[in-house]
Amino acid sequence: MTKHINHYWRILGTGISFFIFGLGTLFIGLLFQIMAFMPFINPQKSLRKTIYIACNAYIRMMKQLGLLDYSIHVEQKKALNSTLIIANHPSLLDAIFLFATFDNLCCITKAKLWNNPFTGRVVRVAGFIANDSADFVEVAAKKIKAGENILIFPEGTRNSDNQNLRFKRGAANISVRSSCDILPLLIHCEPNTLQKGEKWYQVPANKPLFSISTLAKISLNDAIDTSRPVTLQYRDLTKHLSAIYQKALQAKQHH
Amino acid sequence: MVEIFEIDEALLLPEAKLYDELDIDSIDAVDLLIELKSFAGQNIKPEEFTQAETLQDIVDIISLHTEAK
Repeated sequence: MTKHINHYWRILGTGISFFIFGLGTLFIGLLFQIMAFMPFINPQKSLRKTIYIACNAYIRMMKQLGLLDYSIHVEQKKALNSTLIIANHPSLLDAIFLFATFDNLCCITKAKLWNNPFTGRVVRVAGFIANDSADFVEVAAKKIKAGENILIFPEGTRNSDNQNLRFKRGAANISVRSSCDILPLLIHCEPNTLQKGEKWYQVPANKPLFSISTLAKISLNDAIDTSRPVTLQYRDLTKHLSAIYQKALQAKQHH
Repeated sequence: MVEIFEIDEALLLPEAKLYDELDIDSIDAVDLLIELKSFAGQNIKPEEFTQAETLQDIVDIISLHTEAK
């Protein structure tokens, strides 16, 4: 009985959380659109900081509401620059957890967010990159060379079971073009929630636990032969990254 | 093509679709264009190149430019 009540509460709580997320992004977006006209303010930097603070508050709220638990073990957060951060993508909430982990993050997002009335302003002012623009790899490589850290989900979209990940080459394209290091993060969610194709109200029977951890940082020169043609480097690196995640996810399964 | 994309030579038919069948993406197309420019001349425009859908299209573009010289 209490289990049922808890389940219904989590459905209601998830609805409330989505509502708050919508209101929050709308408010922050409008606020920063106005702030963009003010002198002496770097809107991009302050918005990214705001996203960090807001996402931290948001995941704490979801935890307080009893909707989920999480454990985030990410080292090297400080003094991270010119790094490509990659992660597997099992849930809608992944990006929120990662924004709550790194305080100045540029993100490659799906193009739909740019036309979305809630998120459109935020992604623009925050200087994020849409994954459908012809030159998104070039733009991302330039930002990394300028010292920014960029988050990309190499799968390009949420996966269906967090197994047998299919990486697209975008992440490898950016890393090879900018010769940058890669920090791979492993996201694990048990039981799965808010997967691709699921509706917000399809809440799992048990409370999900998110765990986010770092895998060993990858130096481009150690990972692949950088003397090969770049087109082959893209493919080599994509295979290398897939293999790393395959191994890590399998190890997690057997625990 | 075999060398820079590791594609099976048997798949390289004139009508092979670059993007669907040969696993080439727009980033690869840019690199392929740079490669081709080195022997087909510098005049190939990126716009006409991105319109190519099959290997035959690329062959046509190249021959157009090498003849024009």
